[in-house]
Amino acid sequence: MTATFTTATFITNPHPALPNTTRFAPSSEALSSNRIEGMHQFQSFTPQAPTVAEYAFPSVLQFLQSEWRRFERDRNEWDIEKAEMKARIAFLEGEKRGVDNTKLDLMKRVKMLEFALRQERSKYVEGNQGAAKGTAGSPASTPQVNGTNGNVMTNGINNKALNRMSTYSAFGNNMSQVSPTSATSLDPAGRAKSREFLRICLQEISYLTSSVPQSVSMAMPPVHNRLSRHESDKRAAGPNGIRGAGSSKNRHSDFFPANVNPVHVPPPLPRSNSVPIATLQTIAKSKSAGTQQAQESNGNDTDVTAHPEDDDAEQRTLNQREITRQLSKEAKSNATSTTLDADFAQKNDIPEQAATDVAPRTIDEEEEGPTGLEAFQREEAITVVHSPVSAEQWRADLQKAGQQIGQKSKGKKVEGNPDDEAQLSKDVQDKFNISPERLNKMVKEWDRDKSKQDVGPVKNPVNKRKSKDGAAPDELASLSISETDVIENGSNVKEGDSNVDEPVRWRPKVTLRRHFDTVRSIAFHPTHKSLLSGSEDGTMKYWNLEASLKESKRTLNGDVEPIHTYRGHTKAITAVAISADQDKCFSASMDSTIRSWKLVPMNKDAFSRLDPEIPMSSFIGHTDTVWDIRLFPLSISSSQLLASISADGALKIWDTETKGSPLRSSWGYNGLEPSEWAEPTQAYTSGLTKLPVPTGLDFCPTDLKKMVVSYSNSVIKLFDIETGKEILAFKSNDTYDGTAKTQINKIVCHPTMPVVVSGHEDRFIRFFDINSGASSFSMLAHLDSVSSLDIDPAGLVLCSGGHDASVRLWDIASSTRSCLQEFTAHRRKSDEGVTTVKYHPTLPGLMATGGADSIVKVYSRS
Amino acid sequence: MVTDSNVDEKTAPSDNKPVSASSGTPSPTGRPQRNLPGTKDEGLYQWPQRPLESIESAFALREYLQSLIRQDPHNVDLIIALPTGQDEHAWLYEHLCQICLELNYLIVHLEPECTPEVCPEMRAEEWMYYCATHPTPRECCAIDYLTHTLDGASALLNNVKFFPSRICVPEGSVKNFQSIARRLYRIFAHAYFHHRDIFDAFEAETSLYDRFLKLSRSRKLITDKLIIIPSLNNDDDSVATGARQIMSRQERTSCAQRAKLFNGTLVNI
Repeated sequence: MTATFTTATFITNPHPALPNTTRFAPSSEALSSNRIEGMHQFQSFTPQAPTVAEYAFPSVLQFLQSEWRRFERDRNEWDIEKAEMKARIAFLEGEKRGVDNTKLDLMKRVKMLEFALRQERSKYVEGNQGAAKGTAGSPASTPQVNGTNGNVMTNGINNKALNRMSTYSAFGNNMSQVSPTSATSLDPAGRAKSREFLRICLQEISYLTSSVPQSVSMAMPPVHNRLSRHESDKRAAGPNGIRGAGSSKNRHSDFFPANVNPVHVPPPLPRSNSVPIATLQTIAKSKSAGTQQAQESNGNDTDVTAHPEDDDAEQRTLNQREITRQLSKEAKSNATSTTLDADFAQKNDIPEQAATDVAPRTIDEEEEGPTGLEAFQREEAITVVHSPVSAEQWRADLQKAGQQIGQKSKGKKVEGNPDDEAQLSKDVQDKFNISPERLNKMVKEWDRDKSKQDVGPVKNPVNKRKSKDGAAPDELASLSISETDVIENGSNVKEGDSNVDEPVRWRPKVTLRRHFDTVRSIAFHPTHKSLLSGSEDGTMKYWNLEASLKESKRTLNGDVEPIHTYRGHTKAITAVAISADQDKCFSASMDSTIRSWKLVPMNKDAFSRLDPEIPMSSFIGHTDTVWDIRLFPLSISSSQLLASISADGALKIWDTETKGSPLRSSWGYNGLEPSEWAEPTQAYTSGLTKLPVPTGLDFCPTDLKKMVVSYSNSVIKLFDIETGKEILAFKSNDTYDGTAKTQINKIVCHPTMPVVVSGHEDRFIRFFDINSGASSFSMLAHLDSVSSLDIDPAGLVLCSGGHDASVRLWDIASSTRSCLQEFTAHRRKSDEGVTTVKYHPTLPGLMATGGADSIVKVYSRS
Repeated sequence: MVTDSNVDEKTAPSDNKPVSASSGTPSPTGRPQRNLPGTKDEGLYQWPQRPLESIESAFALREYLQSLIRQDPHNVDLIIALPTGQDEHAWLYEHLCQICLELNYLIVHLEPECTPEVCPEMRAEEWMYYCATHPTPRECCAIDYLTHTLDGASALLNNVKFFPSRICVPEGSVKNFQSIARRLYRIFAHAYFHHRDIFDAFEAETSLYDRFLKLSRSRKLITDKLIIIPSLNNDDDSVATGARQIMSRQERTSCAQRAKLFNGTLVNI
C-alpha cells in the first residue's frame, strides 16, 4: 500500500493543476476531508510534497473507496427496506386473507338468513294459495319472476309453481316490501322482539367487521362446532355427569345407534362399523334413556322430513309442485322454526327497506295474512331460540366447568356477541339442517345466479338488490368459493347432504415410519410441531413435523426423516417425555433406567455430526422395567419433577434438575410409611415386589399436590406427592378377577376437572371422581383391551387406543360419553394394536398415535 | 360379524374367547401375547412360541423371527433357515430389519468408547470408508458413520416405495439388500478391528454377527472378498472362553495394528 502511495504521488506530481471541478465528489467537503486524510498518509512518506497533494491519486482512490462504501451501505439499506416492505406485504396479505375469511363467513350467514327467508316466503304463499293465485299471475309479478328464474320459466308452469318461483327470488323487490308495510300490521310485541333481534344481529355483524379480522375469524370456531342453544339449555338444567362445555355435535349422540329412529337427524357417526359399538353402548344407552326423552321433546326442531325437500328446493328444475306441497307441509309441521325465520326475514328486510322501489304491493299484503298467528307463535319460539337467561346460565356453567386457560382467554374476548351469534347461526343451521357444504353451495349458487341475472333483463330484481346492498354484492361477487366438489347436480346435493356427518374428523396427515418395532410412547413438544417417539427397538426418535404438516395434499409416505435418533438404552423403550423449559427429554426403558437427553434443535440435520452433549444423565434406582414416566405439570428452572413407575413395585419421584442425588422419594403399594421415611429397609424393598405393581400414573392437574397411580390389582390410589401418603383408594376393581387380564393399563387425569379416567385390560374405560373415589361412569370401549388414553387439552374429548387396533374418540362432555369417531389406526403385531395416543398439549387439531406396526401417525382435524 | 373375527384373531385360532361384555375366564393358551404395563422382567415376552402358520397378523414373519431369536439367539442356522412356504426375499427383509434393530444396541455399547477423538475416521483394518448417507460421500468419524449408516438403512428398509409390502418384495428392490448388507458389514468390521472387546461381548450375547454373516453368505449379499473379519472359528460352547482368549491375544495385535495405522499419532487405547 505504501509503495503504491509513493509511486502515485510521484506520478501525480507533475500535474498539480487538476481541474477544480470535482467530478467525483458531490460535496467538496467530503473530498477535502478525504484529501486531508490522503495527504496525511502521503506526507509521512514524502514530507516535501504537501503543496501538490490536491487531487493526488491516493486521495482520489480514497474518495472512490469511500463512495463505494457509501453505495454499499445504501444498497444494504435498500435491501433492508425491501425486506421490510416484503414483510409488510406479507402481513397485509395475511390481513386480507383474514378479511376474506370473515367475508366468507358473513356470506354464509347471509345465505343462511336468505334461505330462512325463502322458507318463510314459501309458507306465506302456501298459506294464501287461493288468494295468491291471482296475485302471482298478475302482470306485475310475472315479469319479475321471469327475470329471476328465466331459465326454468321457459315452459308453462302453473300458478302454484309461479308462487314458488316468486318465493325463491329471495331478494326480489317484493320481498323488500314485507317489513315496511307489514311491520305496521304486526302486533307491537312481535315488532319489539324482532327489533331486538335485529339489533343483536347488527351488533354481531359490526363486531365481526370492525375488529381485526384474522384474529376474529380464528377465534370463531367453525360454525358447526358451536353450541346450540338447546344444548345449552339442556346442559344448564342437566343435573348429572361432567358438565363440560360440549360442542353441539354431541347433540344427536344420544340417539346412537341412531338408524332406529328416523325422526331425528343424527348425522351418521363417522365410524366404519356401527355394530360393535352399538353393543358396547348398551350401558350408556340405558343410562341415558331419560335424557334422551327429554331431549326428544325439547329438540323437536330438527325435522327430518323437511330436510331432503330443502335440498330439492335448491334444484329448481325439479318437480316444483311437489316441492311446494312438501314445503307447505313442513311449514305447518314446523311452526316454531318458521317463526324464527320470520325474525330473520324481518332483519333481512331492513336494508331492503332502505332502498325502496316500485314493486307491486299486492303480493305483500296478501302474504301478510298469516303473520298474526305467527307473531303469536313467535312469543314462544323466540324464548326457546334466543333466551338470554339460558345464555347466561350456559356461560356460567361453561366457566364453572373450567375451560382450558387458553380457550378461556380467547373465549373472553368473544364472549359477548359472538356467543349469541354463534348460537343464532347454529340454530338456523339446525332448523334447516344446513350443512357447511350446503351453505357453501348456497353462497355459490347465489353468486352464479347473480352473474346470470346481471346479463338478464333490465327490470331485474337482482339489479335492484345490487343497488340496495351497495358495494357489498360487488365484493361478494368476487368471492371465490373454490369448493371444487360442489357441482350443481342432484346427486351431488344428495352427497353433500349425506356428508352432514360430524364435520370435525381426524384424518391421518403424516406417517412416520422409521422404527423397527412397536412404538411404545409418544410425546409432543409443548409448543412446537414436533414429537418424540420411543420404540421397542430401543431407540427414541425426534421428528420435526413443521414441514410435513404444511404439505396440504399428499402425505409424505415414509419420507419424513427423524431429526435425531436417540440411542442409549440397551432394551426396549417404554415411555418418553419432553420438558421444554429445560430443553430436555426423557426416556424410560426395560433396562430399568430412565435417561435424560438434550432436546436437539428443530433445524438439526438428520445426518449431522454426533453431539456429545446429547446424552445427559441416567436415573438409576429402579430394579425392574420402568413402565411409565410422567413429568410434573409445572416446572421452575431449578426443579422439574419426574415420576416413574416400575415393575419392581416402586413409584419414584426424581428431581431432574438437582445437582445432587436426583431421587426425591419412593414408595410402594401402601404408600410411604413414616418409618420408612429415613431409609427404606431391605425388607420393605423386597416386600414391594410381592405387592401389586404400578401400571399407570398421572399427576392431578386440578390438585398439584396429588397424583394417582393404578396398580396391577386394578386399584387406583391417590397419593400425596410430598409425603407419599396414600390419601384414597378408588373403588376401581369391579371386574378384577385376580389376573392381569383385568388390570388397568393406563390412567389419565382430566385437565380441568377432578376426574380420573382408566383404561382396562378387560376393555373397559371408567371414570372416577378424585374426591370420592367413586366410579361415575363405566363403558365397554373397545373390542380388545384398552392400551392408551389421552384427553384433549380442552377436556372435552377422550381419545382411547386399544389392542383391537382402533382409536376411538369419546365425547366426555356429554353424559353419555358417546363415540364421536372411530378409525383403525394401526395393524396388529403379536396381539398389540394401538399402543399410544397423544394430543398436542397446546396446538388444537393435532394428535398422534403409535402402534405395534412400528408406525407413528399424526392426525389433523379437518 | 366383524367383532367376532377380530376377537378370534387375537386369541389364536384354537381358542374361542367369549365376546361378551365381561371378560371370560382366562383360557389356558389364550394369554394375549403382549407385555402389559407392570410386567416384570422375567415375565417379558413369556409366551409360547406359535408355529408360523398360526400367526395371523400382518407381521407374522417378524413375530416368528423375533420369537426364534428370543428363544435362542445362538441357534443361527435355525434362525436363518427359510420357513417353509415363505417368500425368500420377505424373509431376508425381516432379517435385515431385525439386524438393524439389534445393531442399535451394538452402537449403544460402542458409543462410550468409539468417540470422534478415538476413531476420527471410519476404518476397519486397512480400509477406510466414506459415509454414503450424504449427498456426496463424506469422511465421517466412525461413530457418525455407524449411526448414519444405520439411520440410512432404516430409512431405506422403511421406505414404502421400495418395500411396500411385508409379504413380497418387488424385484427391483432386492438389489438394495446388497448395498444395505455391505454397509452393515462395515459396522461389524469396525467394531471387530477397533473395539474388539465390545464386539466379542456383544457377539457372545447375541450371535448377531454370526447370524448376519451366515445370512449374507447364503443369500449372496456380500461377496467373499469383502469379508475382512477372520472367521470366528469357535465351536459353540467354548464361545465364551475361546472368545476371551482370542480377545486377549488379538487385543494386542489389533492395538499394534492401530498404532501402525495411525502412524503413531493415536496409540493410547
